[in-house]
Amino acid sequence: MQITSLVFVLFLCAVLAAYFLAPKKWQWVVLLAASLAFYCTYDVRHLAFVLFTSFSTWGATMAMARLDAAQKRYLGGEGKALSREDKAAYRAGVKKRKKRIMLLALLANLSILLVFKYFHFALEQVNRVLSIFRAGPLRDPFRFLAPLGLSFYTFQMLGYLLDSYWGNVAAERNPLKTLLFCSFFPQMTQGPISEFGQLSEQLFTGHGFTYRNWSWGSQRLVWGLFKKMVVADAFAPAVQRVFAQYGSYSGASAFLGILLYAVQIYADFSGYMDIMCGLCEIMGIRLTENFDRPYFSKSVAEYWRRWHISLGAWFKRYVYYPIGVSKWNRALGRSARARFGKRFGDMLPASVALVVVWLATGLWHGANWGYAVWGLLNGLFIILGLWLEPVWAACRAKLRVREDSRPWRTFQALRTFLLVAFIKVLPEVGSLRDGMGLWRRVFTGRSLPRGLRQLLPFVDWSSSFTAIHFFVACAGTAAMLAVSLLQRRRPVRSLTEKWPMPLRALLFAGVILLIAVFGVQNTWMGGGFLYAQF
Amino acid sequence: MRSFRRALLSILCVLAILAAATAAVLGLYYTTEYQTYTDSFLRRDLAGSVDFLVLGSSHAENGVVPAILDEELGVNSYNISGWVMPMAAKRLLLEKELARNPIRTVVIEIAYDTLSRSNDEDFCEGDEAVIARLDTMGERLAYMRENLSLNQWADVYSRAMFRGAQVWLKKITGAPGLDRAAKGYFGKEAAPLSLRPEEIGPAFQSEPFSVDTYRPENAAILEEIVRLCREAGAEPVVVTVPVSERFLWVTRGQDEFLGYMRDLCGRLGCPYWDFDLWRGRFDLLDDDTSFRDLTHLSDPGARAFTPVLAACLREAPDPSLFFDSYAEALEHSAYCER
Amino acid sequence: MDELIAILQDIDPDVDYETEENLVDGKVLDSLSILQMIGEICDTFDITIGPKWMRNENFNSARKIWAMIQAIRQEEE
Repeated sequence: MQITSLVFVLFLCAVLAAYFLAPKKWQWVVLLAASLAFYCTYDVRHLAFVLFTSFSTWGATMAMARLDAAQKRYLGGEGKALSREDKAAYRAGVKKRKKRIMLLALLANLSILLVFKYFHFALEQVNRVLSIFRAGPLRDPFRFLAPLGLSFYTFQMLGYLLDSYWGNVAAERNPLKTLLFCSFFPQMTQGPISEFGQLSEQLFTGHGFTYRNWSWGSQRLVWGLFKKMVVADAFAPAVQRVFAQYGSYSGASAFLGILLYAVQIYADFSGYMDIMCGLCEIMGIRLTENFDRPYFSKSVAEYWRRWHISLGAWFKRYVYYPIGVSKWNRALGRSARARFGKRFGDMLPASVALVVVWLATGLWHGANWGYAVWGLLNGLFIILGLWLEPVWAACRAKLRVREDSRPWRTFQALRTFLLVAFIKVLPEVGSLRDGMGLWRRVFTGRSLPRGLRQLLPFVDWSSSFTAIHFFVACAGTAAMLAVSLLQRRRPVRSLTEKWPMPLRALLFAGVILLIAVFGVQNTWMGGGFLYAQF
Repeated sequence: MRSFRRALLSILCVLAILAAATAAVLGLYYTTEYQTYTDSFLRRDLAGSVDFLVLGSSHAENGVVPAILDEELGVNSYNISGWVMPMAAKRLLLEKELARNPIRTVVIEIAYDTLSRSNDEDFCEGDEAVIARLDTMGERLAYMRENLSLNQWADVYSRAMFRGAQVWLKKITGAPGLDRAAKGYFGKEAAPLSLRPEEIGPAFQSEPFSVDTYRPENAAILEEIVRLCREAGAEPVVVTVPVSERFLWVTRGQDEFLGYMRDLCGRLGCPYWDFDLWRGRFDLLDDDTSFRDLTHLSDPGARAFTPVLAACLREAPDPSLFFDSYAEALEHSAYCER
Repeated sequence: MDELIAILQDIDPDVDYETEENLVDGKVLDSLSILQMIGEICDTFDITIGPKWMRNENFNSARKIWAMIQAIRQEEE
């Protein structure tokens, strides 16, 4: 079921009606039924993987919880009289068993992800090595499509598993509630990746209908549809043309093409988030925010705290900190401090952790070297930012730059936007070489475009229909920028809240008309969600 | 409850505005002739006098000039073809015209891809145009109910509102709309084709098509169309309008299409003329002036082709006037030396 | 507690650690500073801060960090 379709809108109406008509204690059941039905419209066979991940995680968390409960009972009862050493040994034994259970569930679910996402990539690398020795190649026996949302729901469940192992969250006793957490349809296919502690409370508690939730949620939902259908989907064919034909473009056109992709992917991904967060808001459920006006960031590090926030938070919590505070990494830091000084010693453990995080982030996005390089490039800029901060601070002091001045902040934002836009496009063009080819074209494409058609060769000028849609999307981009600027101070919805209802209805209807007239066509011409591929 | 009532009121408010906007836009669209295909009023005015019908898709809409047919054959013809028109729509429009006109001949145009068309792949562009050509909202809703899925309703609505906005723009700017004298023909200027001659050659044949893509339901509708014609006393003739020579070169498998059509029309007992194989086509039609794109005749091309069609209709052509196959035809093409 | 305050002052001397309650959520300390702080705490107090303790609420104020250190010490005994 395509999310930007009339059928999905009707599906949402049915879900909302059922949700609010159901008694509060059964509302979560409505969500579960809707989630499973939604997933089955994609591929019912892949539901087996979702069920496996959900029930294996439930089983593991319940087993660990039982061990904890047994330990508490024992040490509170007959084990009270044990010596300190014996108690420590008992606890260590329980911890060891818990670890085994956790690792089993972790590896089982991680291997599904690894096989589906990375098997072909791994085989490709093996064949490359074999070709050096003039051996092979090994045949690829599998041709399969990954289950929808695999990366997202697997990470979410692994997070829950680890939180449960660490004792940060109590295990959910009801397997069906665990299944709901795993398969909750608004976030299953593209995130956000939520923490069990935060989302479960929202999902399993009943919510009454309130006008405010309805008003704010529906506005956000419609805004998301606008961003996705009117802006992102209109730019999608133009971006594909850029990737396919940049070799014949002028530098200016190639540059605009890169900016176009940056707008497209933001409108696509954040549009999806707005749709789903808006829907959940109507139901009284608060999903984790995934975007915080990322293109206004003043550094690459800040950008990644504002773009796909939940993925960054997941990696920080489950990869960066564990590696950062690990014994071996701290020992590395101590040794570096002794040889090269305090600063070096403080920065090295963080840098090591960042390299791992960014390599993993890159490969999470795609199983190819392009994404790996993309991830490392992001990591490099963040690490360089950390290491060179004293140098930049000295330069700013020398140039008497006022850091809180608007020109300086604007410069920082523009600089960061251009940097992330260029990095973003690298793995998307095709191969790594193609990505670098597009970069090169920006600087080497000398021809000067004469007129709008030459400046924007990626627009389909043969049809006034598609050209009009493109320029409507440009106007939509301006609207998105205006809303983002307004939202620095307060949510736009708190402004429209004060308007009389007919005026709000007029604005709402106007946006819906734009979606209906322009958005529907853009989506028909090939508008799948970009992040659904991950 | 109060919250829910307030929400309901807000929904009704929005729906009322949307309904008003839709009525305003579509109202003008469906009650005027600003779009070149909004010909329901014209057809109603001509009802009772049309004795010759051309029924096809865009190839026929751009390629057959009723005024020339009228002059050559002494008939009162109407070209009811439409771009991307689904087979079901052709049947519907034919039924309407057969019911109110003394039609004696129906030229049914079938192109290489007509029978493979479906809404799922081709969007609803053709359906939207057909809906605009129907007489009442009841007919329009009935057509949508019978032929379109729920998502396609959204597609049709979107296209209709876009076209309707264009109608308003035309009204405001005073732009011309339907040319009644053209009687359904829509001629376009010649335009440079997207393939350059130096790109053509046997090695360039890259686009295979196969009759496996033909949908049985489309063939069934063609049979029904032939039956409807005969029941109304009209003689059905199936034709294929010529495409550009360059296009013939880049598509492999045309002889499969030819074989399929010959079998089908043989079973239906109606003549089939494929004018891509007419021996004079390479001399009469020039890629640079006779076509507006790779597969559609331009106005000069249509005016050159229609008398040929009329001559064949006047007197059934000798089979020797046609090549036997596409393979044979291409041997006589200007590009065959490459 | 004084040793903890000294560690925090070393990382960022401009913060009033007696009153600040939003060190992590308020982005007063970034993730690099947190790693530095954890490394120093582990070395100074001879404890291991495992992943289970890596939650924002444990690091939002000096008081909460001190409470976490006490809890870890008790656990390790």
